[in-house]
Amino acid sequence: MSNQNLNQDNHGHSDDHGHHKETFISKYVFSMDHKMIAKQFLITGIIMGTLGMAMSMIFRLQLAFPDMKFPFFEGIMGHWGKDGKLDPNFYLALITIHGTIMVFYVLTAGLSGTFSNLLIPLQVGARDMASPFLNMLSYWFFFLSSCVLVSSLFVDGGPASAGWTIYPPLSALPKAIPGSGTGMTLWLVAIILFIASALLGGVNYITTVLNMRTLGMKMTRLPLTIWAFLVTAVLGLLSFPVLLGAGLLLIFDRSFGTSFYLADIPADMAGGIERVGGSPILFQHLFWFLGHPEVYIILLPALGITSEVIATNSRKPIFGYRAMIGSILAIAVLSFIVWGHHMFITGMNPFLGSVFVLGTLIIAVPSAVKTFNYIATLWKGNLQLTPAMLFAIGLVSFFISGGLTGLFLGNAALDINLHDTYFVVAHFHIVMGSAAIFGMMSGIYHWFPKMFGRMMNKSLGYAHFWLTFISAYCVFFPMHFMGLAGVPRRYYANTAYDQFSTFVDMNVFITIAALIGGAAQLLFLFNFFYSIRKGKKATQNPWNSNTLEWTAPVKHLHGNWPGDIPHVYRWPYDYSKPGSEVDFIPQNIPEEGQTDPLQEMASQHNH
Amino acid sequence: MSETTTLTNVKTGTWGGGKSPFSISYGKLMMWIFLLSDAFTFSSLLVAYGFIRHSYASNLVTPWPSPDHVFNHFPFLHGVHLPLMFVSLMTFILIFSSVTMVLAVEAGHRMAKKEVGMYMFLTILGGIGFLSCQAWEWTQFITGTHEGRMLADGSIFHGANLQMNQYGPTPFGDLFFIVTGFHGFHVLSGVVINIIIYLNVLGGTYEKRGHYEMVEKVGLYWHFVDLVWVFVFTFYYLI
Amino acid sequence: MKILNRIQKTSFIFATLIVLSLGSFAQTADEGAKLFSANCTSCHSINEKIVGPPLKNVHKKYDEAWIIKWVKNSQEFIKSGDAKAVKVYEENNKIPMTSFATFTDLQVKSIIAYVKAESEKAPVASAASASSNVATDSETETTDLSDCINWLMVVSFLLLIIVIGLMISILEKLGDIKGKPSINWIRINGFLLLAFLILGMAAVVWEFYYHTKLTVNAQTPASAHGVIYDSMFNITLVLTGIMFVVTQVLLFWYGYRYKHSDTRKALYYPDNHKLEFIWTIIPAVVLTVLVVRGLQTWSAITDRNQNDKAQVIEVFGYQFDWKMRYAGADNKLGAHDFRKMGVWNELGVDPNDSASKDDIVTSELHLKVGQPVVLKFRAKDVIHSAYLPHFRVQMNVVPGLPTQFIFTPTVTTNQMREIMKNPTFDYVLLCNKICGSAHYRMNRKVIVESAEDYYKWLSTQPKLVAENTATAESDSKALATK
Repeated sequence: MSNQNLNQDNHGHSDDHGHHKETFISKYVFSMDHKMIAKQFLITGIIMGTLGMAMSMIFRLQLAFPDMKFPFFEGIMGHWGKDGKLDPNFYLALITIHGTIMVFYVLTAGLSGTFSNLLIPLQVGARDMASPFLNMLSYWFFFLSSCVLVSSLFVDGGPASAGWTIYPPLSALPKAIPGSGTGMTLWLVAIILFIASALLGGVNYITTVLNMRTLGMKMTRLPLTIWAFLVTAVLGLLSFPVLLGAGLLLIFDRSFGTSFYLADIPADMAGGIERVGGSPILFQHLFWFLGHPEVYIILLPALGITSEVIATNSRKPIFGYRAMIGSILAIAVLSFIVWGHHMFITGMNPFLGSVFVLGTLIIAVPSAVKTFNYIATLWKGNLQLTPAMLFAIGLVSFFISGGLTGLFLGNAALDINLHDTYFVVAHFHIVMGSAAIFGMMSGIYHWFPKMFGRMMNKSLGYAHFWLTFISAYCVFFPMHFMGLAGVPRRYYANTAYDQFSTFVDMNVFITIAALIGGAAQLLFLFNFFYSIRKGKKATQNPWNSNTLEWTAPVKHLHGNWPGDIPHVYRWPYDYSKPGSEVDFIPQNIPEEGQTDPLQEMASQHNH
Repeated sequence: MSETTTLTNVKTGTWGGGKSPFSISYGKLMMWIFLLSDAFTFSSLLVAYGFIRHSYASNLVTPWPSPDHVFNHFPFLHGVHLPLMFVSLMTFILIFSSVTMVLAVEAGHRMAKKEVGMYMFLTILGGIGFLSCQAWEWTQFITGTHEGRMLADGSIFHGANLQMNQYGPTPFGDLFFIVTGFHGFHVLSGVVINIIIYLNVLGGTYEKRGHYEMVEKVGLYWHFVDLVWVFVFTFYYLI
Repeated sequence: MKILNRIQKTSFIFATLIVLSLGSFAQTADEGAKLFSANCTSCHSINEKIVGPPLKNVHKKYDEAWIIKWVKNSQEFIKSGDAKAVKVYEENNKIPMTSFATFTDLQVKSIIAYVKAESEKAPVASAASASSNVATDSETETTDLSDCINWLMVVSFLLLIIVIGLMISILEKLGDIKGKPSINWIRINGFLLLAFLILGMAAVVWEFYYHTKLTVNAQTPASAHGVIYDSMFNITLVLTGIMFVVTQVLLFWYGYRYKHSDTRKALYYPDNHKLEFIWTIIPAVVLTVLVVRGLQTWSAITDRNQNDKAQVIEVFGYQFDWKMRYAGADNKLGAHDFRKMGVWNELGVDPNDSASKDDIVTSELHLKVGQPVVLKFRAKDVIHSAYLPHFRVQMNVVPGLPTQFIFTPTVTTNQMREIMKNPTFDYVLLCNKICGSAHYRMNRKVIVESAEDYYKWLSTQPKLVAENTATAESDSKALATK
């Protein structure tokens, strides 16, 4: 990678954007334009998301109707769905790949990849990313990674099946389960490619935000989206390398007979080599050092998008701008010292557990501040309830519900009985899954006109929102109670212990809600792809927003603005400012008395 | 960009936008960020090392070997107990190559093409020297000593591989290979990049461009690799 | 007992059970039942496919000699090229079945006898399960009426969506013709937000009312520390519950109350430090309460000093079952070594250690009420997690890294049955860390009983080493000659 870093000078970030002729390939495939790359990320993410969602439908059917046969299973999964019965091994494969796809491919690359790429240059006022070439590479690593992951579905033994957390020894011993063979190897390859993509992207995002802000765009005038993307990129850059290290050691354990993560494994189970001396828990420490910041890598961009959408559509400044930045930073810092709360019951030293409890629960403070600030922003606003706004409100609702259950799980004592039960499933599907998806949807509805120059259909958007919102709550809320009854997650069926059979009705209910929610996404898919071609033409600033991206023309230009890059004179949240006739004042409108940006800058400096 | 050029003469806030807050090019900033991130990769390996080693703290059956007694060989001085002498030599070579790199960068600021070329060449030599030493060190480690270690079935095992080693617990050898190997891989790629840049220097690419920033960037990388080695040396060999 | 060896990995016994046998006497079937439940159930059942295929009527498909060969070493059998064996292997996704080399022919036959007996009564027994997977391939699906209704609901719901969609699009077209929108979306959505708040809160209350009683927290905790656990849980529930209601109500109420109107302008209100200070402090105070209480609870539960008087029981996890080892009279477990894991000695107990002489290995966990126990966990292959929800006990079971959990059971199984008014209730030890295909079946009964019953039960359990002395000796001889 260093090689690419060094050679980028040759690939010009020159001033003559837009001069060279564009062919189909350079415009749509190997594009170096950040707006095109954003669309590529988005569409790949949507395709992966559809796949991940389809998988969840299959295992939801299995969970609700463990005794029933679904002949179409054999049609889509071949011998894994023989006679219409889902194979238990493939059930594990499905949940593993569902988790991997959703966490990494949809909510990391699809969400932050899309909107960081689209919004960073446009909102800070830059012609493109710092290095368009690395940006392109970032996408293509991601694409390659997606292909490898999808291809792992078709190998002998099936794809990786050790859960998305791939704890060794299960993932390290190819003989432990069928999915730990070739499928696991491909999973690791895919993730390493993914890490490469994330790092290339992250380097670019940070550099662009720090180095390429337009004149007057002080850090305290950045929209909260940009703050969120910046912090997300930093989190990614510091945590993904650790997963790389962890993955490297795992590959050695799997393929070269080392014992980093393996202890006391007899030779016949480990490829003829006795494994002694390593520690399975080491992997968990390394994994969760990534894994926990990863939660915020997913969540922060969604919160950033929400801040922007809520402020714009409330026609009010976001309440407590500086507190919002502060809480983003606090969350980011804390997220690095709380990974142990995923490991309370690994037999860790109780004192160490206490430290992690403290850190974990402290995160609730900045999260609470963010929530209250959102609510305060709505107060006495003039809410334009667009689909994007509804999704943003939905996010806040999920953030509250899921965040509060985090207080149970973050408390080591309570975690004893809740760890790895459906309570956990409910918790993270609400706070990380649904909330982040809602942030992503909010972003798509809000910036669709920026991306494609057309509007999405509003009524379909409303239907999409309400169906998704209601079904998501119907799916995940009842799961808390299953968890409290001790039903473990990752169970193929809840038939093996009599007490769990009381949840048959609930499982059926959840599955039906999930199917409805899934069907609602078809509305979205239709709306999305239909509107790309046939949607109403968008105006330049359809939401009367203040940020810089809406000062760029609807038709995409290489280099974003036809003339000079606009200069910035104010923060992005001057909505409904007293004394102004319109209820929004874009960032590039000077304040009274400010005419020359250079003067303004100079005078501020003199204060 | 045009704004940037007009602005450089105006007094503006450091973070006011329109210019780099650190007054460096985006390429160098990216290199810094990349190195920060790469530092975390190394940290993960070193943490793994610390974690596993710590778990042997009270293990008397298979104690963690003392590096003094494992890395005590020196080429041509067979049978002499020279703890860590050879590693120290390697460290010295690498640090020395960092010094020549500094000189190359400095010469670049003066646009002295010949000097840049010369110091780059010395740096490359240093890198290759380090890699050769590492190759010898690995060979020594893999071949092992005459005494070896008696196994449960009475046979004697010499040297080390990824599955076991004569010196101590399996992870001792595994970590040696992965930590120094990963670092060696970085040195190797550093040498390759240095060679490319060296050729560019000779070809006059940077002379034409008007600045030797590429040399600075590889310099950053090279110092980083050097710094990492200091940590590897400290944690793996000294402690 | 010697025959109760189980070395199960990801595997299935396909043909274990097929019998042409002439006389399957009740006794052999009984013996077979024991063997079956001890060795086969983690991968096989009579009627359902689990990891391995259902075994119903397998005795009709294969002859006895074939089955015996398969059970004893299926991999070798497949390699020998037997067409049937290869077919079975491929039909089951090439997952190898564990070899049971130690079974005698007679034992395999007894299992076959059991399967035969079960196959014959199976149709009645399995009538309840919606679609028993009978080995004759061509049976039809049986679907419950309620499932039909559910599906109908889904379909009609989808239809309803389509109809609404059509209506909306017509209304919008009308609006376009008239020049002003005929649907006021903002109003509709505002009302929907309010409706969602009210209905949602009602649903939450209903959920709590209706489903709380199913949770273990609603039941009497079966262990001493369960009481403080539950009180901690309730404190958290109340505090978070208040937060939940307040914030959700405000969120949706404001969503409704401040929906767009052309006559109103939003309030420019970017900041209020006092307000922000207040709502930083309030969560901080609440969290301090939670942290302090939480840590008190945590350190009380994990206090290792309670160790001294606790009775030692080892819980050993492997794919896909549990074994318990009781320390015997000396309350000391014998040494163990993973290299010693073998056919009769799955736990790798060192037979030469004097402490292991009186160790007892069982497949049920029996606990004496009121007696503190320390469960020592060990795993053979991958990470498992021992989860006893009724006791508020969970601990990961990690290969190569011993862990433990100390607690005191306080309610016997019989008492709990009375409390729950459920005469069939049993405590359970579940596996709660993904470990493979039969993960979901990896559980064992836990029985808490009076001292009297406990000792009675324990005395019927054979001692591991004594029972296997002959084997152990020949093992060590074999080692010595090596």
